[in-house]
Amino acid sequence: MRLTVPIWSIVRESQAVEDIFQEVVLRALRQREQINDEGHLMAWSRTTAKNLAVDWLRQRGKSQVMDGGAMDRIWSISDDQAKGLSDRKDALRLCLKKMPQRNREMIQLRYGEGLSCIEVAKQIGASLDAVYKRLSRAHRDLRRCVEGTLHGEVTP
Amino acid sequence: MNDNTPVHDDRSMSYDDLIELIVRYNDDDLDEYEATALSAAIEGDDHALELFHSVALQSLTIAEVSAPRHKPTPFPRQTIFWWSAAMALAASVAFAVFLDLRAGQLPTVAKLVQASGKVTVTMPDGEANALSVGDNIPVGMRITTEAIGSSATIQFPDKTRVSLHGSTVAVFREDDHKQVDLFVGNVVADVEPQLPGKPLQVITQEAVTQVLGTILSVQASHNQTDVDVVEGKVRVFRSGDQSAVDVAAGERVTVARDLPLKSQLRTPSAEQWQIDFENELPSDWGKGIWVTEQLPAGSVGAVMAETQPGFLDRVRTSYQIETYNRWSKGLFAVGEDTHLKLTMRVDRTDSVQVFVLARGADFHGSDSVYEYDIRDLDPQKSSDWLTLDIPLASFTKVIADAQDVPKDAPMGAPQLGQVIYQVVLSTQDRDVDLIVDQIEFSAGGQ
Repeated sequence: MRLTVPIWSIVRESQAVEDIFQEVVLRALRQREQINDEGHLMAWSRTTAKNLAVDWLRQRGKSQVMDGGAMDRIWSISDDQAKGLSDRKDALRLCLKKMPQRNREMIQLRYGEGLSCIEVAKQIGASLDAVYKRLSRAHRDLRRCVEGTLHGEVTP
Repeated sequence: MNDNTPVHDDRSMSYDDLIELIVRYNDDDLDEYEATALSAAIEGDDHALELFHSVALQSLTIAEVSAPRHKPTPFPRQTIFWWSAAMALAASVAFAVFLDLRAGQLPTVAKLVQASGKVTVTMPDGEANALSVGDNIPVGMRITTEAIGSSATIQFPDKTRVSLHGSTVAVFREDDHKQVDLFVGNVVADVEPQLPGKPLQVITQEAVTQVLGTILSVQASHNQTDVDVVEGKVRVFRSGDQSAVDVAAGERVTVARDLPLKSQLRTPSAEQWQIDFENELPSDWGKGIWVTEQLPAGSVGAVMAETQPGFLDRVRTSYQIETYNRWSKGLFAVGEDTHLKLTMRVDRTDSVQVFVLARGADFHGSDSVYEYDIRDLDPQKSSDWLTLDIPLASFTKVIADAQDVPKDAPMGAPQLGQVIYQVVLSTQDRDVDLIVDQIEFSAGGQ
């Protein structure tokens, strides 16, 4: 979670997250003699992953790279926050099952199939703006459901 | 969210707006101002950061639990490649022509009259174009001085000058009054008298500084804005609660959410500064990783070089340690016999570059970078700690791609009274496990 969430935030493509994560692991194995302890490994992995993610973005000519300060914040996930993300992931799996069919199909197209929002709009016969609005609502509802699940509330 | 003005106060953004901004960022669909607003929200608001991580986690998890459907391939791979290449080439030529037309049509507000290092303008499509002395500054476009130590001076038609120093991003506008949006970094403004009721405004995330005619410096950093007035008088408004304070010549104010808004006398920087990293890295520390093992006797913390974009060349990756930026208050002032005392180690024979960044005592003139190469470090074993004593007089001036400075310009040492505001240690692209336990600048050698 401490690496994959920030990597996704930069590259925004699930396949690329897997590729970059694998590359970080391979490089860490090659450099294992130079890495002293867990703290050093985490810092080294974070820096390597960040560089690889930004390189990946630049190679594909994507323009939207976060400003330096925001970029640093995206990568600063503490132990507690990482644990929180892990708990949320479990709750998220439950919430996805409860999601209305229409929303589930849309997020499947966007994140499962990796279509851009304009491609999703064409596929479902809606405007781009409508897709942004519906995706935003889906994320908001998922978040509410996750909060409810974590706090033991019954969600619709 | 499509307003032309950058959002400076992330708290004004609603929860739903923020989620939609994140969704559109993930679709690579934000314009420059929206991207700036999102960056500012993530940088300044823990809740926004948590929301951002939460959307990323949702997207990742959905991808994991969704079995992607097989996508049919109607053409052989190679055919697709050549068609794609041809289409991409045609599109890029058409786009370049379109951009040239658009760049030529952008209204301008001022002119670049001095530049040192790389200065760029970010065009509406996100492309960063290099600027040269004499180029016009388009209204509302981001002007960036890339590397630390670089600078640029922008001049409005009425001779009002605003100079950008170090890693700085600013936008210039002039409608019924002049406006400088300072996203991050340091500017010094030498403002000609403005019409009553139409002051020049320097806007940062925390503050709006109104100037009718004066010389002042503004530093925008994480959650804080520092305003120093050299001549005249300015009025500073805090964005959060709209409280205001007048700041006169020889005074300064720090604007932050939790500090009382009060001007105080500017005091000269001390002639010494030291840091020993015993209590983690300061929150606004530049570059480096705090380490707590394999330290010299009696020490409990040190800082290790971190890979980052290069110090003088942002395209290259460097291993470096970078202090916080103290442009406004200064780390220390150069004295008669200032020495650097450095406790450090590397794990093999190599050299380490030390850079000090200096500005004039009253923010006058361009800032300078001075360098010292610690050569032929030869540790017998990687755990060897070295304590070095280097006179500041041994440092020499670096001229990084200066556009208006002759190549044979004087390369002297830091001048008495100059204010050092940042220090950088770099081993360029060589990972030699550079760790520093203590940095001290003070008078006299050992």
